[in-house]
Amino acid sequence: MRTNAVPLLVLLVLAGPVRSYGQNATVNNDLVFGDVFPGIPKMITKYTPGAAAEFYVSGTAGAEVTIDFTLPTYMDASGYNMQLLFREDDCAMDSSATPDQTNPGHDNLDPWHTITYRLGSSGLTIWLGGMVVPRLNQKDGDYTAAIVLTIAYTGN
Amino acid sequence: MPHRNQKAVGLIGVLLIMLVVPNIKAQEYATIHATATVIPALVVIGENDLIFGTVFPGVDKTVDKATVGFAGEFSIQGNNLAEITIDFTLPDSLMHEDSLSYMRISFTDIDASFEDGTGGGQSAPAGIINPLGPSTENLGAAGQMTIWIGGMVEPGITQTGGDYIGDITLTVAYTGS
Repeated sequence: MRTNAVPLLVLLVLAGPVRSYGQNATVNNDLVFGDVFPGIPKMITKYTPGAAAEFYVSGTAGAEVTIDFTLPTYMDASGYNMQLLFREDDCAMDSSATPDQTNPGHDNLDPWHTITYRLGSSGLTIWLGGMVVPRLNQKDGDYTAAIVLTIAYTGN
Repeated sequence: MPHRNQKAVGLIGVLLIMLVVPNIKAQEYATIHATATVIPALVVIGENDLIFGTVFPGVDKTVDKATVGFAGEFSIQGNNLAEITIDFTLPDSLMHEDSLSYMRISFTDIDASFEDGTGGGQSAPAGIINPLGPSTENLGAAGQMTIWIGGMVEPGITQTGGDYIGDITLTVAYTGS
């Protein structure tokens, strides 16, 4: 019994440090367009600190995750709509220890499709830009829309 | 003895699974909001026609932009201090209402003016606008602006008698600045 149990106890000790941690996604910044003029589309690029959307994902370093956005096509204000566009290169991310929004490690990603990436030792920071297209007679007011980010481990 | 070892191995195996499995989350969600504030749309109203009144054949007649009640007048309302472009579409002739006759009309590059609340009104406006080309100005602190335009008609010596009319269109748009 003693000779068989020791390797198993060693295995238990080893299992502790390598156990998987759940990933966690937090919001650092909304996608903020600020003042918009009727008839004049306004774009916020993913490189714009403080205006582009920013998510931070933590989890097991090196683990592969899938990243899915649920993107709105309109913003709303008291029943009035305003078109919201996302292009196929409006997303960027960086898993380095010092994420750089102006020069991200992984750029021009398509937020309309599943993105697969590995978490870094400092997690993963994701940025998203977009464009609003107000009509010439767009009703004035404060418009909002929800953008949902879903993160899941692939198991790889 | 081998049987006890097998039980121990089984227990440890279950322990291992318990250590690992509860810490795995299948998915994680985060929601942000896209936000934008749409400012009021521009409203332009033609307040007063450009009125030349009675004109004598062969005698040019000018109406100055500062002439109250006769100069053309537009009012603009929009967002406070917003930058706008101002663009006139001007006729080169006024058409006789009952025939194909026409009478020439002309405008100079100082024939329009504007008031944004910083000047003294139509007689001492805040600035001059060239009606012959687009210009860029800022609305007043309350989002207001009034624009006046004058001009000159040039009736010929044999000008057909009657009423003449032409359209003067003002187009304004936000620049986005």
